[in-house]
Amino acid sequence: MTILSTKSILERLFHKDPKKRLVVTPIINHKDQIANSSIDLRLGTEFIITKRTKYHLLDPMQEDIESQIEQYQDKKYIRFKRKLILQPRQFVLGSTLEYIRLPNDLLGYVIGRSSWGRVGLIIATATMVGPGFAGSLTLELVNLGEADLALYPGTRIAQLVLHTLDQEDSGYIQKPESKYIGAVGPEFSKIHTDKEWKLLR
Amino acid sequence: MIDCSKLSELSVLFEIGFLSDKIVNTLFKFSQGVRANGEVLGEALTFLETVKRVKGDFPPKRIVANTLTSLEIYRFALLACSGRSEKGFINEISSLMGILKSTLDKENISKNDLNNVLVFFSKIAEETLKETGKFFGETASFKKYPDVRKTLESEIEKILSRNRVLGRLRLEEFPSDAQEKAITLLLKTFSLLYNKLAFLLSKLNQLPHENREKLSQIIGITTRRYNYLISFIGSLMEFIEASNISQFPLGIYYTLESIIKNFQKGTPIILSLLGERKFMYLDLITVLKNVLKNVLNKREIEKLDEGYPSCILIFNIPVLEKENILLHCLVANQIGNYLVERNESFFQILESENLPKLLRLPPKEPSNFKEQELERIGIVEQALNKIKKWVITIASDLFAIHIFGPAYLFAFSKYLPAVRESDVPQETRLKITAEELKELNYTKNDELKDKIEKVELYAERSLSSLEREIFNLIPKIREKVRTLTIGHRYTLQIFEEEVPLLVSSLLNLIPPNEILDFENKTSRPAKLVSILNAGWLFKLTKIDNVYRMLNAKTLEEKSQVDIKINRLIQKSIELSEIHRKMSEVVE
Repeated sequence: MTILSTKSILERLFHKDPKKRLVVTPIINHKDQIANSSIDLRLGTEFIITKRTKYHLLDPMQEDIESQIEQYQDKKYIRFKRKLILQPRQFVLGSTLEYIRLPNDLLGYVIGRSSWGRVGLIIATATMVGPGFAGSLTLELVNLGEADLALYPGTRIAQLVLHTLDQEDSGYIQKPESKYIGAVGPEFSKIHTDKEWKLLR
Repeated sequence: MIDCSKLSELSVLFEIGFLSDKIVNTLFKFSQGVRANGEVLGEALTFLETVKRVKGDFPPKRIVANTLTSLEIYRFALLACSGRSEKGFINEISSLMGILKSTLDKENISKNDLNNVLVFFSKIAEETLKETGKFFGETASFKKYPDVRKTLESEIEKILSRNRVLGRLRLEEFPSDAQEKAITLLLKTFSLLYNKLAFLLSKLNQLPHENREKLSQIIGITTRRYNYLISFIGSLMEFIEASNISQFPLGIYYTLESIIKNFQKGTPIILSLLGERKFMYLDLITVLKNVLKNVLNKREIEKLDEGYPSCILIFNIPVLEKENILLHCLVANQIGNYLVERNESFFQILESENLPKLLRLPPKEPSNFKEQELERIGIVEQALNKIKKWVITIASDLFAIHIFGPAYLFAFSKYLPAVRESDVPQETRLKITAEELKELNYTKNDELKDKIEKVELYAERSLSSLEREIFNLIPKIREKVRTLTIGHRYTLQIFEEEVPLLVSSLLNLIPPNEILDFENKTSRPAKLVSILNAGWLFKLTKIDNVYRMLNAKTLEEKSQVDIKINRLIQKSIELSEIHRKMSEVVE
């Protein structure tokens, strides 16, 4: 279980065997984007904005939680070269521009870039990316600073750090409970589909 | 800038003593809700404080130039809302609108500010109309012609309400600036129409007694023309509304943009949705000018699009297929249509020896009967129009094949757009496009050969005599299309270089947006048309592998997989385009 170095990341990105290949696409500039044993990830163009609703409580035990979540959030598209303003304390779901697929022997962690962190931007709270994951990563963006932040799609906003596993996992794609597989933008929460709710109800 | 929450500052209006409580209520009402309007209102209120300081010297001419915008907003609000009905509300609005516009032009203010001002402007006008409906009721002569007056008033109200919609549309997110251009043009048009109607209203007021009946009838007829026109412009606005960025995925927009750029750089394009099951295009400027001929003179129409590009193209895709990126390849035919229609050289094919053959004209004989001669000319004209349309359709199909490669044929054979009796039959078009792919050597590719031949087989049928004659023209049409597409063609070589790699990406549920160079450890964005071709080839030959991989057995499960693949293709086009744009900057 080691962290992949810059060189190993590059080797994995161009691995001839598709099963072993790490996919992070597009990579605009390999030299700039892959360094310090991590891959810089860019902000995508789709967002889910939280809005005020009549619901003051989101309770996954409730029957109509799915529609409540959808009423609580709105999808928004910000085109390339335009900006999204994130106000202090505002919570928005974004996604990586890159589509990522991890081979079954790698696990990833998404972490923020310190230059963004210093102005108050938090990019993810659920940071683990499971082996075999395929899709764009949803980022939970929160502005903890005091000033509005302008976020531009295409900006490098996060980093992906990769670990090898001691043995291959069965892979995310084949698991029926893989809720967010193949996503190409941020996804609404599917917390209500977790199995334990059946037991708890 | 005052925040819109600080509405208590409306009390300033009382303090300076110009406005009644009713007016303040009106201002208060429309300042609620939309933040941008509140900001404009805030600006006006900021200015009011200045006015307050120079009270007694209104209008305060010594205010410096950069506050002129605020001054005019304020002046308008003040005059339009202060109940000065005796001066004629509409005339007042018209003249103020003119002043406001010229001031704004001089000030060179930003688009956003202009938009805010216009929204504010139209809202004030509209709200005031509702609040003070009496304005129109007070003139005695209007009362005698209630219908004409009412119609005029209602048309004016329609303009105001559409102006408001345009103001709202301006705040929405669109894929490009083309919508902004279109909205400004329509606002300009409405402003012209507004002035015309205001003029008519004032004329109705001043009708001399002896001609009253007749003149009011004339005004009534003219008003109906406006009615048609305003409704028509309303339908054009729907295209803009349906082109909002949240309406459908941007994939095909990027493709369309990249193709149009090759043929007519800088042409604003709008991709919109259509309720009907067809793909079509229109040029907003041409269409608008054509309908405006009914109410505006030549000079006014010429002035309307001064400083605008020569056309604003609106391409439409059927709303039911808005998510189906692979079918969007049919837009290629519409681009061809647009380019061919404007290219005279295509119609020269019909001249000289070809035309009499196509029309099967009898040898010329002197005719004594004028009627027969006229009838003959009529038939020839009709036939000529039909043949011209056929040439356009066929040339557009060939254009689409040259630009999109096999993806166009597959999209066409899947969709089979509805045709009228006078159009080129679908089978004929399929046959021509399949043969063109053969001509371009695509059948040398084993995977494509089988698919193209299947379409050809389906399209096989006996041809009418006209079709046979048209078929004889194809080499000439092809030559023209080749000249038109030179340097921008999609070729078998590009297809074979990129498509197999992209298909293998899709097989692994990876968006096919990048071509990897394994030797040099670099990558480049795939061509947008290659992505679409890969999508088709994958759909036709490899999708079963993914069904198996994801264990999709039922129709429902398979359809879920289809949706996923479709999204991956859509995403790829966006990613490839962003990749290309960012690489240009990096390089």
